[in-house]
Amino acid sequence: MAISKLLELGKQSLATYQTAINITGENIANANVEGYSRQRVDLGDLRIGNKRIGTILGGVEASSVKRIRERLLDAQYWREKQNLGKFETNVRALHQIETFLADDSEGGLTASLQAFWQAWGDLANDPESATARNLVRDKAISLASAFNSADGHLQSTRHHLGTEIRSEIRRVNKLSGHLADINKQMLAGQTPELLDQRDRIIDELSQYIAIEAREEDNGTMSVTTGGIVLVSGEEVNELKVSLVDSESGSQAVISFKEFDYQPQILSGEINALMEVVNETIPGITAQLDQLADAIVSGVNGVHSGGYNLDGITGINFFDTSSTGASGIRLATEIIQDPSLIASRSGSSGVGNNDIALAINDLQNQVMVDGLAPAAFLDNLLGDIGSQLQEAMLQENSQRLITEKLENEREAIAGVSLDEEMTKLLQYEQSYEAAARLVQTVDEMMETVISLV
Amino acid sequence: MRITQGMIIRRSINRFRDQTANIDSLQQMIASGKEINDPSDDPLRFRRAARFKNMLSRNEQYIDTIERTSAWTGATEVALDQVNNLLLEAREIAQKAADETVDSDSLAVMQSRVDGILEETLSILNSKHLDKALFAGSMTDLETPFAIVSGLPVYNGDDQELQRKIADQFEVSINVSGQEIMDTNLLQGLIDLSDAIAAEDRTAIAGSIDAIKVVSDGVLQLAASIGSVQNTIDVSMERLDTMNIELQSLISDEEDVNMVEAIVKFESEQAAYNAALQSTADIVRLNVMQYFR
Repeated sequence: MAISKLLELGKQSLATYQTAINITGENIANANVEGYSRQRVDLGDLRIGNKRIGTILGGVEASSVKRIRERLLDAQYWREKQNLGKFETNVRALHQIETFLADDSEGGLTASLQAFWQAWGDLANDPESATARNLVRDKAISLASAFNSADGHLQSTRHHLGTEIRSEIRRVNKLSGHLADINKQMLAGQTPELLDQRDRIIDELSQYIAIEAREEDNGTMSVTTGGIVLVSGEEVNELKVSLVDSESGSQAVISFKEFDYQPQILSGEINALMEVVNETIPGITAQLDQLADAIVSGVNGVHSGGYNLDGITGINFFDTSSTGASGIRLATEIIQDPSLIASRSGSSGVGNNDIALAINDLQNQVMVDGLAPAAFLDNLLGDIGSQLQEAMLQENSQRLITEKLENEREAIAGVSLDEEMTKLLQYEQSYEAAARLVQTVDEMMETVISLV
Repeated sequence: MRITQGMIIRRSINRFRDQTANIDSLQQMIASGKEINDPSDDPLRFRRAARFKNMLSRNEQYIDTIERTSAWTGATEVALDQVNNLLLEAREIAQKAADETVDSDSLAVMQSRVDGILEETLSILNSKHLDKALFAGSMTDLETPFAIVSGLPVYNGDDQELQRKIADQFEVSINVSGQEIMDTNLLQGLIDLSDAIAAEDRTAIAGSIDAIKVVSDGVLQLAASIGSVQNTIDVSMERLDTMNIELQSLISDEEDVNMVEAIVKFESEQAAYNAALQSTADIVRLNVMQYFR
């Protein structure tokens, strides 16, 4: 073997270890980057010379740089992440609703309703009193405004969540576009960075929407939602949200921009948002409406048959022109002149309290869905509480599952600084050794030259 | 399993999140004294507590009603008692006037006293409690439910009962109506006595003695009936008070936090959190770099 070959071998080793140190450096630099997959240098023997003479160990080369990743774990992680997104959003939305409706302060629904019945009880104890009438009016106004604001809060929550759906859909479209770009670049050649980027996009998509991701032979990723293609190669089908009027009010509907098909989105944040916007909130609103209407018609039914102190009768206590929790309000006459509040039945004197008693007693009557008003309200709150509790349990266990998968993924693809530092040391030593070799060869050359 | 620094950090962060959430919820419990702050804390217990609270709220309405009613029935009893005392005095006067030896001058004095008694009785019957006529039936706004018009007693009120609700499904009537008083012949009896004395009609005066006794019995009966109403509501009050205490303890059972338990849990969570912070700090600092020099 010629001495110059040895020099070549040294040079080769230096280059190889430089590459190895380079990759190690990259791993260290990206140790904290979410979704970064560690890379490994596979060192291979470099065989040179005449094979017929036999194999001569001729050096080393970085035969390949591998991206360490477990495809199966990714698929599982994406699936579980969709569920996590769904449960988390569910909890968040229900929590907002609960906090407001179950408000047990004085202005809350529960307390206002109690105070309303109490005011009628006070009037029954003192039917001649103008003060008691003012109190009934004021408590009724508070009750109506508690209903109004509960409904207002539900509607604004619904609106707010609707906006969230819109922006998440926009984000999904954007991510789909990115993925298509990456697919296109992928056809030109795969790099670890491209692959990481691609998987990061699927990670984020999974949080928003139910998807199936399939890796094609050429490295591109196809994504479908509800069985319909979202991204395939460079093609993107964008989604859109629209409001569609239906019997139960407007409903948010997700469909494709290019063709009118509504994919079934079964999980992800968007699924939870759609459920809350289209079902949960309208359901609660409908029950509040039912309660408000029952109170209005119950109280009016008794009140209009009663007489005030001056003998005026046939007055409605609540305004009958508007309905539901959003519309409940006192009759204008009563607001302006609380002396119109009836407390007695027809032929009796002012000390009679038949009407006030009867209205006070409505609190014990079966008025809504086979329940007394307060029981109906408590049931509604209890139902929301049950739903929220259930969602929190689901969220917790789903979080554990997702975290476990995240860890498993990290165990394979994550960068361990200890490992990298050790390797760095190892490569550095080899590099030093290779340099020493070059130096030795140089000395050998000098020796040879001095012979001449 | 291969463990990386990233995993250690992520797990630690997750653990901190869970532990701070636990500590926060325990702290909230201890601060509010309640275990059930929101329906979702325990929907079942929330519902039970809500039912008890509704019952408690109704109970308190009943208690309030009873307190006001007590004042009213008390005033009624006092008024009837005063009427009865006046009747006793009238009867004594009648007994004296029935004596043949009493002269006309004395009779005139006696008659003017009887007229005075009549006036006082009338004023008691027209008396008000908290601006409401006590004996006017439902027409509590009348200024003078009773009057003497051309020597005859007139009642302007009605015979209605005033109802108060003092328990679920239980209403009591709390008044003695003016009609019931008219039915005892109270005013007419006194007028008759005055007339008899004026006429110096000893037979009529003697007759009045018995008549006033009958009136007095009637008034006593009315007083007794109002006394039994008072009794009923007193019993109800006792029952409601007991029930209130029971309900409050039931609500507390459902809602309130067991302080000792909560504080012990809080302490142990705190210790666990401290340990987690400490161990994480130690582990994060630990790496191979420390050994390369």
